[in-house]
Amino acid sequence: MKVRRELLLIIILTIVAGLVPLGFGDDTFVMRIIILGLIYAVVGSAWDLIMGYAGVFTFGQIAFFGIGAYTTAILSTEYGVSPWLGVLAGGVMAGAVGVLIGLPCLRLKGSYVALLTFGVHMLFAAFVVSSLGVAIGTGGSGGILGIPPFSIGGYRLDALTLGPWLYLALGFFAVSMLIIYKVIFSHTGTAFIALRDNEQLAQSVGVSSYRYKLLVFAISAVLTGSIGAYYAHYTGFVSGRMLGLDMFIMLMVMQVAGGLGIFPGTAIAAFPVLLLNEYLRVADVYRPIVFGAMVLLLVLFLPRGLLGTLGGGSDGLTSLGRIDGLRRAVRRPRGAPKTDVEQPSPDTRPEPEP
Amino acid sequence: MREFTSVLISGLSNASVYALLAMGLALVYGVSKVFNFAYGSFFSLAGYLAWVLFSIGLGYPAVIPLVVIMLFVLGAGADRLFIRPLRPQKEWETLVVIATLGMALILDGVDLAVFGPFLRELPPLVGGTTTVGGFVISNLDVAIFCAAAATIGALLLFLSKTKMGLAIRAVAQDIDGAQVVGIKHNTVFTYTFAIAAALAAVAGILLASRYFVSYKAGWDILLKAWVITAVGGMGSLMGAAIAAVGLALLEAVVAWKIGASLTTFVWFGLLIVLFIFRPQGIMGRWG
Repeated sequence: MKVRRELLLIIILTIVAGLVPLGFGDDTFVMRIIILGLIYAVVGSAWDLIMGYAGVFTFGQIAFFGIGAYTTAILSTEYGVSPWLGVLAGGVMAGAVGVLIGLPCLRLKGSYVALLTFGVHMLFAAFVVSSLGVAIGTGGSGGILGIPPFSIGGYRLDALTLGPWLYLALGFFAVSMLIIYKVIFSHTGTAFIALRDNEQLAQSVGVSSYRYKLLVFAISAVLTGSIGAYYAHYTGFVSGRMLGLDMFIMLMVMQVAGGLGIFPGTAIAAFPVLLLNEYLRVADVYRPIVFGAMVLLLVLFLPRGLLGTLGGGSDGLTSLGRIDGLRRAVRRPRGAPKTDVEQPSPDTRPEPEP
Repeated sequence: MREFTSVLISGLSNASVYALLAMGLALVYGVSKVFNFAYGSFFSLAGYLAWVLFSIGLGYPAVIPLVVIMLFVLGAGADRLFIRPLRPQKEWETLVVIATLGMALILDGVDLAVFGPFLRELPPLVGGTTTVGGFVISNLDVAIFCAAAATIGALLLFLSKTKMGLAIRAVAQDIDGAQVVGIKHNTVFTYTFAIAAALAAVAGILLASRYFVSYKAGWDILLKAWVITAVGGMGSLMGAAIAAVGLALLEAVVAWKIGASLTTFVWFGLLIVLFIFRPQGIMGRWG
């Protein structure tokens, strides 16, 4: 059986992230970095799916993360809903908001989508601290405290024993990465790459950009919302602070370092970038400057990211491969969404008159 | 009624500054399809630079031109160093957005590191009030309106009378055609980016004279300028002006009747509704 390099990378990453803590014993710092790294890896990869593959420049990711976190936080603290259902609800809620935003947004051009979604992020951040937000239980600027941890069977995870948290995050990570991998290497993913590389050509052979973009927008939002919900239970509290620019900046750096549309570059980049962030704490107020400079330098000198520059990644349908990729994109496998323009099949084509 | 008039007048004075800002965005987008995420950071940097110049004893007549020149040079340098090299790339629009975000991080970070998280205040442009026919009008409102209107006038004059202005319009209309007649589009791109930065400088000083200078204020301003540009139609200066007046008046009325914190929600609600029915904006066209 042929295993794709991307799948192999995910498996290696999962195994390493699972084994490293054993080597370090119960080191809290290492555990926390890995858990946070896994969370960022999922959010970053979901972002890359929509930005790098579907070619939709969106900034809504942190809002989706926040929506997932707040949904489960409100449900579990106010209504006593189980955290497991909360994660599900968080994902569904984020997905629903994603579709709601995607419906008007995805027909627009790149910069419009970027700012509209950026606006959604700013609006959500303003909403949770506003009186409207307080009315539905966001707790205003104080946030929500005392979000219960997960329990498995009768065992309740506690905030001090990080091991179970890490392996739970690893589970979320593995499932999410597999879903993203599946999407990228499916009929849909091929259609995205075709659309990204040549939108007109792809549309001319019947790939409907709007429907695919909406679908991937929803998938990306659901994954981000779910991991956001996990994060809420992991830290035990949510507040407007998590919607600040900090997380956005980190994701941005991971994205650029990993390379746009080069799965799973962002996931791999997540860990070193987080470590760097920890060590840069000494730089204090200069930290954003350092990260800003890193973003600029990476974009200027390594526009395809580290992984892409090293020759890895799945940039996919270039030159000759593109035509074949397009054929694969329009050949509709059973159960795949119908494309807008039907291909004329040979038997319906009118016979030429003699 | 009296209250309504003063709301209207301060709304109009804000509208003039918003129009200025939105025109800068519309100009750059119309000419080079670049969306500058550092625009708001230029705006707040201008406020800080003005604050520094005031603190060494200069007055408005010296501060405004100096800051405008500084921002013009900064804008030109940013385009030359960080945006021009990205243009030949395949996905340059995405890369440019990321690069300008990086620039915004650096500029805001510098503001924070140098000036700290405190709000800074500029001396008032003019003080006092004038009573016209029973209505009390703040002189500051009038002064801001006049300064912004004069800047817009100068911009329109520049675009219609000077060689570079005409070249900018030519590139906006047809980049290939402009190249055929010998217009260097890279120079035009750099000029428009620099002019937009200079407009942000004027707006930054004018609004800082009314409100405060803060390293975070730029993001709010960027969003406002963008909503205006999008409502007016990306790339349309006339649309930007109309949208600025409409949205600033809406903002003034919402802030007066409902509360200032809700204006952003109202603006975005309006924008989303507009996008569903007329995605190209009031005056815009696709392309």
